[in-house]
Amino acid sequence: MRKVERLVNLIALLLDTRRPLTLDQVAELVPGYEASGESLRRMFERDKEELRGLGVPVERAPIDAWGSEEGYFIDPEAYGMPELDLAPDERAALALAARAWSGATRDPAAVAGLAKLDLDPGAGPDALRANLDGASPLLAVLLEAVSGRKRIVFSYRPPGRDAAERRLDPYALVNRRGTWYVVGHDADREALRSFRVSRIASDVRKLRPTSRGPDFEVPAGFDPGKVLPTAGEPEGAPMALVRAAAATARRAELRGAVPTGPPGHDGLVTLRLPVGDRDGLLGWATGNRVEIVEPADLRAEARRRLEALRAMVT
Amino acid sequence: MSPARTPDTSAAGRLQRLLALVPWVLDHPGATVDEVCERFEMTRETLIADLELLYVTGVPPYGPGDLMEAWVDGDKVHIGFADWFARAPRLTWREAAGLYLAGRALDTLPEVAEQGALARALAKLEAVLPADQLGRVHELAGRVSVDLEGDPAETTSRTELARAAATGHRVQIEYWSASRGELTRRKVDPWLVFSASGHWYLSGWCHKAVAERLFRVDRVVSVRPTDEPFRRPAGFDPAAHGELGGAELFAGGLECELDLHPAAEWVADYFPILDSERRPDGRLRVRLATHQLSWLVRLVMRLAPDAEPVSPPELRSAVAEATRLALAAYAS
Repeated sequence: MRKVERLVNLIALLLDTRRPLTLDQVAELVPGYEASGESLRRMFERDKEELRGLGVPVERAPIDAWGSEEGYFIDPEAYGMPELDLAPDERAALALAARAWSGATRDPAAVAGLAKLDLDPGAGPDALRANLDGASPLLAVLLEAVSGRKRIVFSYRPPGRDAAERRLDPYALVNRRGTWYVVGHDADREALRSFRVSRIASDVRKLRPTSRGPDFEVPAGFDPGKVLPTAGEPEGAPMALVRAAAATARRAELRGAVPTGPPGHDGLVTLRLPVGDRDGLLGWATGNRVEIVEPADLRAEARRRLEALRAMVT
Repeated sequence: MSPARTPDTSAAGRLQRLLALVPWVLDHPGATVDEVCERFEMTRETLIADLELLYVTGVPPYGPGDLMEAWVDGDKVHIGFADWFARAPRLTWREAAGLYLAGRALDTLPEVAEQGALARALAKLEAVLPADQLGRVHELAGRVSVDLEGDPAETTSRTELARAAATGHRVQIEYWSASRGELTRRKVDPWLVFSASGHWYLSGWCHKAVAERLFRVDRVVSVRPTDEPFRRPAGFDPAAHGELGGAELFAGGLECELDLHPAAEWVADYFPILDSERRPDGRLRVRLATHQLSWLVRLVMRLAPDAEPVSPPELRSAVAEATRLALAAYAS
């Protein structure tokens, strides 16, 4: 008798029963519980935990008024998903959220989740889609750890270096530009660190999987929204002067660059913009054939980079 | 990108599907095999195997009417005597959390928030979650930060495009063509606005190209709504269009190889590469495909000098030419 069949039968029995059933009664009625004594108890406990993980609440109560023995049952009210009474536009909006979370992956659990709410992934004239890839297995474990405040261990491969084991108190999960990061206190470096989830090169394990309760507290005032650099530039930042073709200049203007005047006779526009991230500005300039006029050190660096590239390809 | 998911063939995954499938079929009497398979993203074989499993289950000790009926009748899926499974189980806390977190993130987009439907739906969801689950979900929401917005310039275009897509109106856009390095003006039927690999895209019909086109929203410089209505093609599948992710965006393009120094290895994470291997000199060789060689030239220039174009030869010569032109500005 396969495990899935045993569990389906178990749920049907516990939903159907009008009074709590003892473990012996369950074992007698449900095929597959051939064990006895302690191994039967362990087997049943594992099944019960598995069902709880799926959202099936197996409850325990005395089987009679004397409380001599306890039995098990599932309260149909606690089991069944209540009707949400969604209007069609609300249903479509929630389906959009569900689809964004389950992402492009074909996860049976995510599909089942949609069906529980009778959300049709293809319904509605939806013209917007987002993908958070939230149902990825690593992310599921990380969510669990963030929620339960459990210290985790994983192997991490930083750009250009070998993978190494890291121990982390995960404070938060952050998604920026389609990329997930787990942010927390790095126990070995004694500092706040963020890790790109896609660079985690192993499973994520809880350091103390069996301990009850949280392993750490998140410092008061910690705000995950402020952890990673945002698009905004700080006030009073150093400025750069650049020369760019009109089309490139127009796009730069949308991002806060200010032209110093009309295009020159060569068609190029001179713009003033915050330096912000040095490497970012250099990469943008060399990648878009933008000349850096000022500051001098950035101009020299752009030239050095281009010359190094030319030496490589000629 | 996250690691590829292996299909969940575990007992838990299958059980989860069965518990959702039975009430869904009961709620949709006469559902066909194809409909059920599509809804649950499963093959016919898997569905048949699931029904065969259900057929031998029920309420022990299996008196009359205690065994479930489950079979395919002609083309229809029949499930009967399954009263105890008439309702789907409640959401697990993880399902509830995912739905809630994604919903909150989406509701920060102006084009979603202004509809109001998502906020109302999330309130209804909150109302039915058990208290302990709701508390856990709320706490988690304070510790997961999702920014779908992108940069402010992108937001303005995306909001306009999404509004036009929702109401079915053509737009006039100015689009920065990376291959030609110039702004182009074109009329587009906006079919779908979607995010993939960290960027927002517009999929639609381009009247200038007289073809279906994919646009990067951060290259849409301006959007002018029109009052000309359009209809999406019959059978348009948003799921198929909106999930163009990763390598599919570049499938069928020219295959190129780059050798990356450590400082440029982020490229392997960021772009949908075909594969990569570590070279004896320690650099990472990545293989990727592109429909626009000029895009890759720009990438190499941006990474200068941490990415070496290896093949094809035309990529090397295009980079050499672009570098020569760029350096001309620095000659003085």
